[in-house]
Amino acid sequence: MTTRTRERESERSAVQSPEVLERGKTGRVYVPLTDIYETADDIIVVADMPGVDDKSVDVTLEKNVLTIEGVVHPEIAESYTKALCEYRVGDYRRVFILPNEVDRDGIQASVKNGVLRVVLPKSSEAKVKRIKVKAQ
Amino acid sequence: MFFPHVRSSLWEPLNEIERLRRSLNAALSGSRQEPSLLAEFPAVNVWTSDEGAFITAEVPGVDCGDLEASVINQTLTITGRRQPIEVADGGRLHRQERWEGEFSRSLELPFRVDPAGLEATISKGVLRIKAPRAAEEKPRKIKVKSA
Repeated sequence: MTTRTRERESERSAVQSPEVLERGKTGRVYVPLTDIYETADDIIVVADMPGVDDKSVDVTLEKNVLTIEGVVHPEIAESYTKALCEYRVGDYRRVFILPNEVDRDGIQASVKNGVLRVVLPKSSEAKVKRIKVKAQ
Repeated sequence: MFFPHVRSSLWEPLNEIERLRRSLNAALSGSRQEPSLLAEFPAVNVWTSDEGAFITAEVPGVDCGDLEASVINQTLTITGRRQPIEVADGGRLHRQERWEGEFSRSLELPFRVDPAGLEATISKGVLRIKAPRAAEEKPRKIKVKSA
């Protein structure tokens, strides 16, 4: 577990897109750790975005570029002083280029426990067609 | 013995290089965690006051039933597990960055806490623990009288 986490953490920042640095809003932007998998019908994107709920997350698809964004409001503990700081809080943004054509009308996104899950159904042309081989 | 000076814990240059590479990568690319703390999960933030401590930890995707926090003396322990994502039969994994499995993290608080007053909540994948200071550990103000 420990070594795996470590590897993941180093990957966390591997795919930072340069445009992140040019937005107007101040504050930090982080790249959420993401799993992507594909089934026969869908492409599923799962991203860790702690502190984000359904109201503060944005999923957009432009052509085959999927952008996920989340806004986190850092909490301030009044009358407390910081004793230990191991992680910092900021917004999330990550851009993906999708491999297949996606059925835009069927996209579904949900957030649970700070994890964003986007289900992108493949368009019928992109689905793999299996050709039956007949024995002669 | 050929190398009587070799200690049992061998110095492994390759591991050292790997460790250095990771911390350098993390430092250069603006990772959220301090490089020296990458091994510890979950990362925690701690605030303290005269009244007690406030601890937050990011545990996205962990159900509250799979999470446990306990305090013994001054040591707070957070244990839990995160269920792996279920990839349906015939599904292919393209990218896997998120961790899964069990974790346990202990940290020592600067004072003893009142176990009856402990409060832990989880929302949006963020765990928040309020740990009030034990009554006998609260700082006492001493009035200075003029004599």
